[in-house]
Amino acid sequence: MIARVRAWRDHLRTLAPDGTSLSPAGAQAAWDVALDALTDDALATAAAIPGAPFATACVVVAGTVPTAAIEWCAALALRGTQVTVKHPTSHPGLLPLLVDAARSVGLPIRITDDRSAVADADLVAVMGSDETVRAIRTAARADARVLAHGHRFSVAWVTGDDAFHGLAEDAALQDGRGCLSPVIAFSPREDALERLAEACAAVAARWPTGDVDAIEGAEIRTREALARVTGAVRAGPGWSIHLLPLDRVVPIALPRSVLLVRCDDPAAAAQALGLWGRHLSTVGTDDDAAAEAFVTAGASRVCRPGQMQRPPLVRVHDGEAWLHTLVRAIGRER
Amino acid sequence: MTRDLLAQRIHRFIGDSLVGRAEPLEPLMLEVHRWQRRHDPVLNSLTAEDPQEIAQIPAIPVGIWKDLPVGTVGADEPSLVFHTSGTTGGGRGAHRLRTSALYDHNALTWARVCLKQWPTLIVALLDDAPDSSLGHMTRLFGDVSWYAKGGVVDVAGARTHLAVDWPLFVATTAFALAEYLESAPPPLPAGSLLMVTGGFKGRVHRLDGDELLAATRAVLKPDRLVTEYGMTELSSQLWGTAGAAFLPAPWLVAVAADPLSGRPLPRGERGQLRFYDLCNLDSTLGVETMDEGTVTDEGVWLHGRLPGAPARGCSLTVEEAWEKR
Repeated sequence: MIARVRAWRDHLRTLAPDGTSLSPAGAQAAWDVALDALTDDALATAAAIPGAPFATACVVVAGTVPTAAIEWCAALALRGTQVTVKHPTSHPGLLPLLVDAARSVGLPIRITDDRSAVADADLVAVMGSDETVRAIRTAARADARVLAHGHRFSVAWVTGDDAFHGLAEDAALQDGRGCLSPVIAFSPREDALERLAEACAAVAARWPTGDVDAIEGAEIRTREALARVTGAVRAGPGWSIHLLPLDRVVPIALPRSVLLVRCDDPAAAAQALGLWGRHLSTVGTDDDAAAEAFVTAGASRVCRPGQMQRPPLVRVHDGEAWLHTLVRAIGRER
Repeated sequence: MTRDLLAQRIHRFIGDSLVGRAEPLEPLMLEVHRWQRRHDPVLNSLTAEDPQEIAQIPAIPVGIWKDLPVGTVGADEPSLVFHTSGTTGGGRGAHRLRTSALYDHNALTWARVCLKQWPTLIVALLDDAPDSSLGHMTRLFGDVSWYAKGGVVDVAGARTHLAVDWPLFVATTAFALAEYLESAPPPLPAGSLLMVTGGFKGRVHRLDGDELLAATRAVLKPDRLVTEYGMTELSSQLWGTAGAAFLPAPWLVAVAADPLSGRPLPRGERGQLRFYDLCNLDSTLGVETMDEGTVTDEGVWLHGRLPGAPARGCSLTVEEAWEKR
């Protein structure tokens, strides 16, 4: 099966991802990043994880992180699990591409927008709001394993010159809507606003922003007004940075819009997240000492700026070695 | 120009505008705006250039009223304060007025124009909250009995009060009305007027706006069913009827804007609603809502909250962020 997954990955590389809200260049970048994670070594490691595969799995994905299903499909299919991806009604996004490619190499992957598919699965993985997670738990079989990945957010702590470009890429991939997107960037640098603005402009020239819906646009302009009064704003075509004081921190994902906070103390920055820290996913930082404050606040993943949206397949996700959750562990006692 | 002189001019404008002899609105609004800018640091920070027309006056987004002290009234000045409901999270915004004189005068004047007359015994499916602008307005219209507490309708109490044979004015939010209808109540007394205001603001209910009004007609059979559009951040209201545009008063200018760029759209195009309210003398003329509408010669067509994608990714949205705090 691992050979088929490799063939699937290689076939996907030849396709142009369309059908998303991202710009063509933005979609291609997200697509490439997702496929880059499926290295031969990573697939081999995933295939070798001890345990018995589930016969069937249903993966419930959010519509606007279009490449999220790729690693789930790969990791499950290479163990021989039959995968059904449930997408939001009328928003299949890139999934038809994945399925057509899977069919061409004989991988058991299908898609549906019918929530009842959840009831047939031995393993259910759900990404979405608390409400979605609750509904899926109710719809799943009582004996099914349910892996819930609720909405989370990520932050960055950046200090060095090179870190700003990586941070801008992290903020641009998926147009900033994913749980690995840095929604807040903290920095002790006096020139952080200018450095990040230069980087965002350069990245936006390469990966233009995709569609922004009305409520997102209004929310960006609302926060922009707050920043004009209490901080500063830098913006270009499709991107913006809102510099706000530490006591204005709210971890909201707005497309291509980063909340920047000048702060000398990583502990104070992490503390400002308050109870939101429970929903913190990743901290991207070039300062190893600073990372610990965010881990204490709740982060379950630490990486360099530029790698936040490029997680390896074999990793800890939401505090778990996620690949191990995709198989049934078997105890063999003698 | 002092605050009191501006208040007198606005008061005069309200009366004069209804008989077609008011001073031009735009120069008056621009004068009020310049006065406000001198006394409101928030507005001043958001004003890049001196506006030459109403649409250039900054409209303060409703979302930051909870974060910033919007308006010209200092926190230590005596004032009447209306608070937002806080349904979208992150605390409650405050609309401070030095006096309610302009609010009261304009609310009553425009209601008389739009409703002509109404029963003055009022049954309100509302909380008796002193800091609610809706409650304040309702009190202006007559003798009010309140039948909600903590946002929960006292259905039994309201039904008892409504079981009379004289006309009543029933004031309700859409959500409270939907809750009341679920009790399968009898029709209202003959001659009654029912005023419904506000949307569901994300609260889950099985009736949408049109269905709610249809169900209201079928069940409560009010002689008159009117809709009101108002908000804490505004001093003026718009009135309508089911299936018709909301009518703004002559001292309230509605503009639809592109939600992404913020640029005003031509009349007739659907966009994010902003209002410029001459009676917001103590706060700020321009208020940007999170509602979508179309401004036409007939009035303002309200389409509900600004639309968003059905699925918004796996990171936190505004409302989720506040819920999870």
